[in-house]
Amino acid sequence: MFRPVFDIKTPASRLFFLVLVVFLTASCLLPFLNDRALASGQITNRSLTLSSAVAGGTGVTYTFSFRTATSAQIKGMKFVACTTAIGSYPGGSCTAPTGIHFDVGSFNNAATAGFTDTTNAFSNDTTGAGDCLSGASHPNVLCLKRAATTGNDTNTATNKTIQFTGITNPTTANSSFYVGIITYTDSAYTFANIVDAGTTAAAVVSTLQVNARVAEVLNFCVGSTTVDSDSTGTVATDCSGVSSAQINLGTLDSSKINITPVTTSCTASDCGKNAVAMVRSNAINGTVVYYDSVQQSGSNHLGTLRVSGQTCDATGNNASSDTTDNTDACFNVRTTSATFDTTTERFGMTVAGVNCGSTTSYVCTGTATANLVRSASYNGDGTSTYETTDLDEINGPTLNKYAWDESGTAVQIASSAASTVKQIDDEALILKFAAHPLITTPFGTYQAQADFIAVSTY
Amino acid sequence: MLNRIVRRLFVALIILVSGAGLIFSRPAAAVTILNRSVTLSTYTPSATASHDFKFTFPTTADVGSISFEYCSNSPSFYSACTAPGGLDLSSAGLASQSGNAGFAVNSAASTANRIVISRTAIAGIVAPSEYVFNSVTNPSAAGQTVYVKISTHTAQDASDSNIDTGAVAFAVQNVFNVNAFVPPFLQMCVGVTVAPDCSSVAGDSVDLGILSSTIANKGQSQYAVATNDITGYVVFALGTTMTSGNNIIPSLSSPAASFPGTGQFGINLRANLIPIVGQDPVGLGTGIPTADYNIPNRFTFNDGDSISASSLPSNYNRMTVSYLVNVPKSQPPGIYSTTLTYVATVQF
Repeated sequence: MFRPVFDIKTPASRLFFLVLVVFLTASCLLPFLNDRALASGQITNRSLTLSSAVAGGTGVTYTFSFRTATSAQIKGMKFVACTTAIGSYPGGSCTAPTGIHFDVGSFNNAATAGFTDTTNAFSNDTTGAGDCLSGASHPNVLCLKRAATTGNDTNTATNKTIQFTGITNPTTANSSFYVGIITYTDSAYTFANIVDAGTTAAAVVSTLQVNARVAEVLNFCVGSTTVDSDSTGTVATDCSGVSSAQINLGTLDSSKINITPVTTSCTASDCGKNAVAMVRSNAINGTVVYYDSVQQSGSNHLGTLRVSGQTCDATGNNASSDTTDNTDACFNVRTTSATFDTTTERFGMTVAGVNCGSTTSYVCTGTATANLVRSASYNGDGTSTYETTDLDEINGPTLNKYAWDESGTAVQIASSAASTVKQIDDEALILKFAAHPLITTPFGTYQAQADFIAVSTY
Repeated sequence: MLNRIVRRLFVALIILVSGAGLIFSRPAAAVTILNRSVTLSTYTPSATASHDFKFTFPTTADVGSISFEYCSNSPSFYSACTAPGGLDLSSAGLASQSGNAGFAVNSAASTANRIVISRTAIAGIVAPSEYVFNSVTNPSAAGQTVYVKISTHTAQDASDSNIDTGAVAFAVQNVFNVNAFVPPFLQMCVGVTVAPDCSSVAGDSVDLGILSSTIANKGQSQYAVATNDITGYVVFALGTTMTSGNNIIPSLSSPAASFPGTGQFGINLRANLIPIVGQDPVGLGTGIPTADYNIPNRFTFNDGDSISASSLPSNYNRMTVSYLVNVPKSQPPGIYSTTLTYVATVQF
């Protein structure tokens, strides 16, 4: 059987409910029954702007903007933060928002504006008095005062600005809080000397995190190109436009140095082309480009420009003197770059420049501004100048320096690992090859083969 | 009754709280593996290669396995993996390891495009690690970017959720060819005098003057040869001895010294003192006179003899041909002459 706790029919219960109703009614009306508070004017056009609404945020700037309602002297101002609007009213019961710290902030007088008296500045009252008690024991209260003022503040038509810096926000995320503004005609913040009052509202929120993942990117391709410049022309939009894994140095003559692009003695399909290696990578630790010479059939010097299957002299092509092996079907090479002339048999390669015609992610106008930096033995003439006369058949000496490593080990030719920006957007290494035979260089079809490699470290 | 309601409410509350916990709980986010890269021993499509992975473990979580999954479509761990065409990891072995070590290939958990290496789960070390796999068959498509998704796991078969993740990429490329052609080269010049590099030639007739039976009669001409034939060259002398109608001056069929007063016709390619005529070969080439024509003061001539040769490609060598004519007193008068042709042959 249901038995209620309170039986309305009993006198005791009726008395209890009557007292309860009276108490609640009185509680609700109490703030409005304070005649002094009601006598103050309503501050209008009031707002509070926070430089950061992050819960618990520190070093936050609070900027108040408002218009006073009454033409009167203003010697004191109180800013009180409460969890409810009504709590921030004069005489209200204020609960401080958790974590708020006005007491660590500073008054920025330079931002003050809109007061009639611009001579007597307000100052931050770190202890307060009367109706405005501030400091560490009242971390939700700020008090401003000035000892004197020139007269009534008559400016009620435009906004006034007060700013505090270095404040710590409330720590409860997604919660509103209210800051009451109260003006006094004295600097002792006497409750009876309240002039105007009004409340602003603000809220602190959680930081919204937007997460995304950028996938690793590496596009690397090697082919041939008619581009012979680092600053004009575009090799291709991207690697999908790079093709043909061969170039031709043409017909070699001991009186000339052949340099790609060769246009004089070449087959139509291979004429006028340099080799190119294009890289796109978002590796944050950079990308390194290598080549290694493919070891062909035959004996000795398998990785140089040679006639496949031939037996070449065992003497070292990389020696300082190579006069003994100018009669084999293997071109002499140097791992340290040097210019070519018509007195020595040589084969080599250099990175003549870095073409950025397809680069859109950052400013790159050529070799000097590219993120890929050439290695010392493969850096053209040693400067960022793209040599335009090193091409086809020339009498020499060359302006670029050329090198080739026939050993088959990977040799670095460019890297972005040491660059300020290590990501690479379709930078194209323009690879020039050069060869010069001696009169004793055996006739035949010569070929050098290489693997080109890009290693990105993410 | 009230107790039942309270109990039901309590149970409902427990279920609600538990459910909320399940709904809102998230797996711990995987940390990105650092400084990761892959280097192949060869980037030739379909070649058998070793793949060298280097990276740094970012955490000290217990690691019982590492998965290396090769994909052609994406490095994202949220995307299904498409195996690169031609790739075959089924024979791959762990050739070496360093840093976080102690792993062995877990064949049961590995596939044609995924290698799982495992060990008893122990805490990882935040240090550079390296794993080299050999006997990997490279993907077959040149230029295609291949991603390798690397993930660490607590389970030895990498079947549980990822601890740490990261991806690397590489692209196999066709071998790049540089072609060139060196044309066949043979140059020969003949004259009374020629420059060592054939840049100039002068004269085509040698006048030996009035033949005497008391002193040797002499003259000289020159030729130069160079070739890039890998087997070198041979120069032949074609012609006859000196004749005048039916009268001849006998040629020396073998090298012999000059004897004035006897019928002799011969040549050699050396500097001679008896008589003083000729010059030794000059030039940077490897050509030398053949044996019978390489003896100072000895002369011979046989039609079709090879008189100089090189067994290698040779730079220019200039040869000076010395002519010797001796006649006896009984030599019939007349104008004696011969035409000699020098021919260089190669084997292009």
